[in-house]
Amino acid sequence: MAATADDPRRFLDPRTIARISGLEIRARQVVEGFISGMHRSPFFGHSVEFVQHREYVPGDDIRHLDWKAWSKTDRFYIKQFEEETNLRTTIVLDVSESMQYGRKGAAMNKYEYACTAAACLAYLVVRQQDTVGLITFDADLRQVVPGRSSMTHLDAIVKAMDISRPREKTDPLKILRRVAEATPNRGLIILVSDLLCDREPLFKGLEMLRHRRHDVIVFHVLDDDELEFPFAGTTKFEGMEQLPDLICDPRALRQGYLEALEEYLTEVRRGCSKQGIDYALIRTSDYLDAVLSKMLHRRMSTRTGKM
Amino acid sequence: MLESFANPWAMAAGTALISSPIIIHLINRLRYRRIRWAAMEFLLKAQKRIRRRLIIEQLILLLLRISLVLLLGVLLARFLGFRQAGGSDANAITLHVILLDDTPSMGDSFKNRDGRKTDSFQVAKSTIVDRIVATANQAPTPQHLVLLRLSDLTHPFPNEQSGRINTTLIRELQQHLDQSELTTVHISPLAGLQAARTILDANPEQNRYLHFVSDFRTADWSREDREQLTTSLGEMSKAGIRVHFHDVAAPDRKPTQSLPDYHPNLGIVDLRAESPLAVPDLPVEFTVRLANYSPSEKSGVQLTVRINGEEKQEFSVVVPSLPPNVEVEERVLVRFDKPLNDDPLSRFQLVTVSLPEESTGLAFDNTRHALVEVVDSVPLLLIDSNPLNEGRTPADDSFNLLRFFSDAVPGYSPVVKSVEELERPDLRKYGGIYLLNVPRLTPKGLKNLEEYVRSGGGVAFFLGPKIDRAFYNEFLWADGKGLLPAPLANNPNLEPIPAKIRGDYRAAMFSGIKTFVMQLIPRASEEDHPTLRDLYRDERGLRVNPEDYNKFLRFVIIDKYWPVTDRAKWSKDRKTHELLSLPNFKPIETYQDRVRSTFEALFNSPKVKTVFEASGGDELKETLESWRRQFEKSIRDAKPLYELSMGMEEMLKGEEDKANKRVALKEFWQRPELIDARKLFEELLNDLRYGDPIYMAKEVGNGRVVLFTTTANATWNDINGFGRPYFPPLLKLMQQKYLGAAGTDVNQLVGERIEMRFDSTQFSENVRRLLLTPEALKALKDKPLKKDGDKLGVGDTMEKDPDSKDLLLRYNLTLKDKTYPSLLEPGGYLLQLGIKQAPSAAGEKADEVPLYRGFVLNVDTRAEGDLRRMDREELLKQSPGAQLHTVDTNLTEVLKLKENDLSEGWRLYVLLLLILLAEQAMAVRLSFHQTTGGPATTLGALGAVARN
Repeated sequence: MAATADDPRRFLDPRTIARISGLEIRARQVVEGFISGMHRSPFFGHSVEFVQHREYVPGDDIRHLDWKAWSKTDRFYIKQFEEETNLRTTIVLDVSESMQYGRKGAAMNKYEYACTAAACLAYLVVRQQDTVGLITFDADLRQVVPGRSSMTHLDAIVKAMDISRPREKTDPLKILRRVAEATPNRGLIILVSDLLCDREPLFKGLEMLRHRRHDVIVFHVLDDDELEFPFAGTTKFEGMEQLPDLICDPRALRQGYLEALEEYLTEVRRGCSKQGIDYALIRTSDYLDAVLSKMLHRRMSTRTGKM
Repeated sequence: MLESFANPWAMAAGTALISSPIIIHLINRLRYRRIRWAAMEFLLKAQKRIRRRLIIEQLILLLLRISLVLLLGVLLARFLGFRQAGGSDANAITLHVILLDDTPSMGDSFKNRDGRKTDSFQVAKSTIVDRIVATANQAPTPQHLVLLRLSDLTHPFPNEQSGRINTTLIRELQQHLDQSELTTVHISPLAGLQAARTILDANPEQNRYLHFVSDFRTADWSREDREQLTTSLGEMSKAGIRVHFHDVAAPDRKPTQSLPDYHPNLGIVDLRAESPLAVPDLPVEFTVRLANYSPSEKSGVQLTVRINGEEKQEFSVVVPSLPPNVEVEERVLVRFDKPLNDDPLSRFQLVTVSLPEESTGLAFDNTRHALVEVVDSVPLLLIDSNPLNEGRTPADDSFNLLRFFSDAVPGYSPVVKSVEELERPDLRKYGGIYLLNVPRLTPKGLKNLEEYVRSGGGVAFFLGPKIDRAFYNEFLWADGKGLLPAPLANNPNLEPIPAKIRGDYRAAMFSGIKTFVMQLIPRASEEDHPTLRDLYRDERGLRVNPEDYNKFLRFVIIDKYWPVTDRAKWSKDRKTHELLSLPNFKPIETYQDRVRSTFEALFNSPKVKTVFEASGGDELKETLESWRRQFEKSIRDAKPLYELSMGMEEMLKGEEDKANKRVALKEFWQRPELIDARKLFEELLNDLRYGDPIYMAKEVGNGRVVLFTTTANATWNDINGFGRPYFPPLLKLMQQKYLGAAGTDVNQLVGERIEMRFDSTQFSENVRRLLLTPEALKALKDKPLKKDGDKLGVGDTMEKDPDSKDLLLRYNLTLKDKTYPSLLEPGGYLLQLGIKQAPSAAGEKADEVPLYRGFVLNVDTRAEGDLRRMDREELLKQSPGAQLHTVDTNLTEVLKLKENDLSEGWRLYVLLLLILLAEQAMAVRLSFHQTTGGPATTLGALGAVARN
């Protein structure tokens, strides 16, 4: 079923989803969740795997009393099991004006690519019965979809992405602060953005998320043009997000551009690395499934290694 | 500025295009595409960071591109170099003056590469058309042509004005050259170069080229006028005329070969009859001079003789050996038959001597002609002061000569006439005229006689008591311009042989003294003179002991003679010869100062002093001092002069004389430093030895004159007594080898100026001329000319000399815009002159009596036969500014008619390549190039970093 340009479900690319459906997204750290799932939880609950007994104290849920033990010992014990919590994932999607750029003739611009990636991630999360929410932003939060774990929730997510038309510039500190406020519980926060904003507020925002013990993944989406700057001939670059215009011979500026870009990418990568944030640079020409597979595989292997 | 370019409009376009990179740059600034760009931050940062460098690099790139366009413009416009304004010649007309050497040497035949026979002249023609003109025709600018042939410098091709080279002109030139033939005349290159220069100088505004197409023989470039050649060529070079020599001679001159090879060539240099008059059945000796112009000896060369075109095998001779590069003299005896009739063609016989045909070299010089008039007997005119006696008595001046030529020597018919006979117009019929004690001549007779001599007659003067000294000196000597070899002294008796000496002489003769020095002395230096030569040679021409003849001279007694004077005036004249002299009768004291000064000059000469020093001793000097002392003693003792002269002779011989302690001086006198000193002594010795001349000879014009200062009879000498042994041989040689041979020793050449003078009162102005060649004579053999009413050959008209009223017959001359007939064909020429006759009594105009004259013209083998060619360096040294080309030279490169521009060199291309490389390097540096394998390397690394 081919999705039309206006169909919000176009972001759920069946082929991509088919390729990544065998994977599960896992938090590298134990996250707190209220849906039993595949993720270890620091909380004990009812579950299959028994861990220990403890004496009842007033306030405990009497549903967890081990009546067999009471009958034998006449004391109230509480059965404790290792509980598998559900993953609370929040996808933070940048829909600022800069995301609108796409190479001429390319299948997707950054925004569309980012939306597709977000949709796919959402699908994965939902599929493993974790909750996923979505926050789109530009200068401010535009759409906030609370976390749910039902498949029907996906529709809400993709619709929210669809109505989030790219506009205005990004204010990362403000946005990330709002995201932190909007997700009080620890969880996985996936930032999908081109990160074309000031680095300092960005890192502060990310630090804020980490401070709240969120697991943060940054998908840095950039267009091939932005990475390669393949332009020739006199060109007027009209700045998005209120940046000034520039008429130049791009070939002459290419080297300097690439140097500046490299500095920027290095800075971003280091900043993320410093805060323990998973960072992935994605080109809009990359196969999305490959990118996601690689990222998830890396995360899984990291977790396995720790365990 | 535009004159600096061969294609100026291309440069103008190029100049306009120089601005194209700037314009493109500006246009690009105006026409840009728009891209809404997110990552402006990096772009702005990059722009800020490299702004200055960017501007500089962009400017450099712009400059490189401008340079590229500029250089391409220069390349296409064909930059010729910077020139001053106004000095442009790029679009001027180029004038090519081609000077074609068509002299006989260009007939050097050989086989070309195809095996066909050709000659240098054909190569020259093809060089002109196929190489010079064809090359010029390729030039982009107008090219004009003038062709000059050396043989006809007054008629250039196409005409006086140059013609523009195009297909039509080339066709006409080809036709013109096809019709051109070699001339028979030797012409100096200088004449051609001067004529060419006149044409070139008339067109100073044009680009001027002089092409001289020739064989560049050493003989042509080593003449007396070589300095003028150098000057002329140097001036042309300075005047901006580009001189190109095209050597067309074979074998081809190699570019690396300095001295080129040349074809060997045999040629007949000269052919002379013993006498222009021949008597039937009496052999006439012809002297053939052969030259072998080759580096090797030729042997067994056969000379073929033809008379009037018919080969006479009986007269053919074989020359055993011809050494290289020398002339060899060979004698051929030819006997003529009695003429069939009085027909002039029967009387004038053309003798042709030929060499066998050669495979290479020249053909024209293998044949040479001589013209001989066959008469029953050779008439001799004896002018006697007393002709009435007709020389019958011994007292008559003509007595001895008449008897001698009538009886003793066959083939002569002497006639005794009065001096008036000299007034007749047909003196040329005489084989010799003897003026015997003739007091004076009539003016007409004198003029006729002079004309007779100058045109090739022989006259002998015998003096005597009747001579009018004043007349002889004024008219016959005429200060050296007349016939007489020397002026006469005041009186024959002024300087007689001293009576004492004469007495001693006779006494001595009769007393049996064997050694007597006061004899007639033949000048040693004149022993090879024709009048004396055979006296000292045997029949085979080998020298014999001079004493065999000189012994007869010991008995000569000359009682009286006319002394001659003004020795200084004629002694240096090479045409005047003092053959026999009396002993010197001057007193010995006369020579005292001369002897002293000569020795002083010897001893004071620095060269001689050097020789003395080099010899390392005083023996030489002492020997010479000893001779001086002896000479001075002889003078003091007033010894006979001959003692002094004999001593001087001994000294110059330089034999060792131990008795007088004299060392040998032979080597001393032979030293090159002593040539001048020796010459002084030899001159002194000659003056000591020889007294007044008795027998003299002089060449005047084509003729010859002899002078005997004593009488032809025995009046003043003992010619009938003791003179009998010596006088007849002397007289025979005088007539046969000298007077009779007058007119034969002039090697008259085709094309030479010929001017004959005739008395207008005696001769008609109309002349008929017939060319006698072997072929023509053979054809005419059976068609003898009739005596009357003949129209012989071509008619010429003599013109009157306004000064002397004489009639002048001229050939090969151009005077006052009048060109006289050219006689350019080798062979005999027979002239039929008309002698006016007195009108008859009835008043009817009498017929003219025909008178025939013949002469022969030959090719100048000496000037043209030697095919040796000029050394390259020598030729170019002698021709400043000239370039020498061979048939292999690439004329397109050499002539540079398409001027050399930068596009023909490698420098511009290298520069262009370097700038192109620099531009590309700069462009690559300033631009992005997608690699085929994926993202750029930097980004590949970036991506890898990001992914890791």
